[in-house]
Amino acid sequence: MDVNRRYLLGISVAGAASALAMPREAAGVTQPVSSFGRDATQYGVRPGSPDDQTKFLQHAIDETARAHIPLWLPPGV
Amino acid sequence: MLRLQGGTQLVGVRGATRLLFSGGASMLSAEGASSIGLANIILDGNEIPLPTRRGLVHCLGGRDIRITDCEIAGSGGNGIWLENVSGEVSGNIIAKSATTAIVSFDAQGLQVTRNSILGTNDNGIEILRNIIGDDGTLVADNRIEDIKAGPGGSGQYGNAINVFRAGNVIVRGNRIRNCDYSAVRGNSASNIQITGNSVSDVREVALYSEFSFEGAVIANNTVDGAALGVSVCNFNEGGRIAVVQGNIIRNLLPKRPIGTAPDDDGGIGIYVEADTTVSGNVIENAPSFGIVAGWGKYLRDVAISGNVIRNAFVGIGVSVTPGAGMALVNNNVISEAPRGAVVGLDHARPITPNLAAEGAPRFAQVLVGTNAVRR
Repeated sequence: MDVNRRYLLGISVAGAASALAMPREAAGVTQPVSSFGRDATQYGVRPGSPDDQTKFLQHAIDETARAHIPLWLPPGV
Repeated sequence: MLRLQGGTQLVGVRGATRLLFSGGASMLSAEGASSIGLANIILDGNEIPLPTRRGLVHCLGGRDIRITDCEIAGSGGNGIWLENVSGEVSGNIIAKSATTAIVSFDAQGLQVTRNSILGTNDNGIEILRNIIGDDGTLVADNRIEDIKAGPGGSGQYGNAINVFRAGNVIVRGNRIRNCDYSAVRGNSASNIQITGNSVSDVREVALYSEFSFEGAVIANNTVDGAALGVSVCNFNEGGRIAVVQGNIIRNLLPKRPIGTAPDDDGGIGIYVEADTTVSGNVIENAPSFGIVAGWGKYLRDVAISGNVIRNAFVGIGVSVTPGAGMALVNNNVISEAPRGAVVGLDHARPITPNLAAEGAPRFAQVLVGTNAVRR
């Protein structure tokens, strides 16, 4: 069971890293690794920002759906 | 508007992740995208009006769409709109929808379960098809409260659960309170099962199976406060075959809302027309009738047995106009029915004395057996 879980985690990290290379550099933060999937802040989504987040969220949805990764939306508006 | 691709999984922190709608036709929209998951997100519609036939979440044609544990608040139109979708809508709170909370057209295998729907202006849940056919949606364990008939009408709005042209739908175990019209309204919905629902304070027919349906089971529900408890009607449109069994129906209102047909009276516990059994129900406090069978000639093959009726103006009314079919009235307990325990009707009008009394007139098509009557 442990072996399987580690194996699956490894897959998801590798997949996420390749899909996220560019936004991660743009955001300039460490890459989160989470069983929930990719953190939306990695795509420039800013919780609590007064600005319209539609463009960033759309990009995040497109990228994560393509990579078959869940998109995690952190607390905030 | 955000477009969801096939396979999109959006996950938030329940109660903390809020997406605020800034305008457009919908907040989240998917077309031909399958395996979509939305979980633990608050979708705030910001009360911005949506175009007609749109939902804040809008999914057209997708397999295994799952919307779970989300909160959909303040939609300026429908909350969730689904067409040609399979999957589940479960565990969500849908509050203050400007039209209907959940609409499904032409479902392909859908479950709508464990949602709390609080405050809508049209209906709570609509399970619809463009043409009559099998649907099979499961609507279970939802809490539905405060449903208004904002646009008016004569029953199109103000219902907690509407099932229209959709066959084989199961409506089970829902708690329904405070609706302008019905708790469950099956219209041309064959083989509908309406079972184990708890209904209070609705202002029209609580549980309805109407127009051209064949087959309805309405069983084991409680209805406390409605104009009419159960109606199985429209034999004139082909509506027939029902089991009305084991329901508790009480505290009926004498009038239906303005807008319903003037013939449609209130204050009735159970109304049936064709190929139906009414058994094992308890009805109390009905200002007009405990049970009515038939409307003019629209009566055929009805059995009314084993029911307890207390405090109704007429206990059981049976149509005896020319052309009316057969009814059996047997083994019922009828208490405190001042106009008569069993009375023959010409449409809504009682035209005979108590048929359960000694020496009462006999009608060939009405068999009044042994009923226990207390005045």
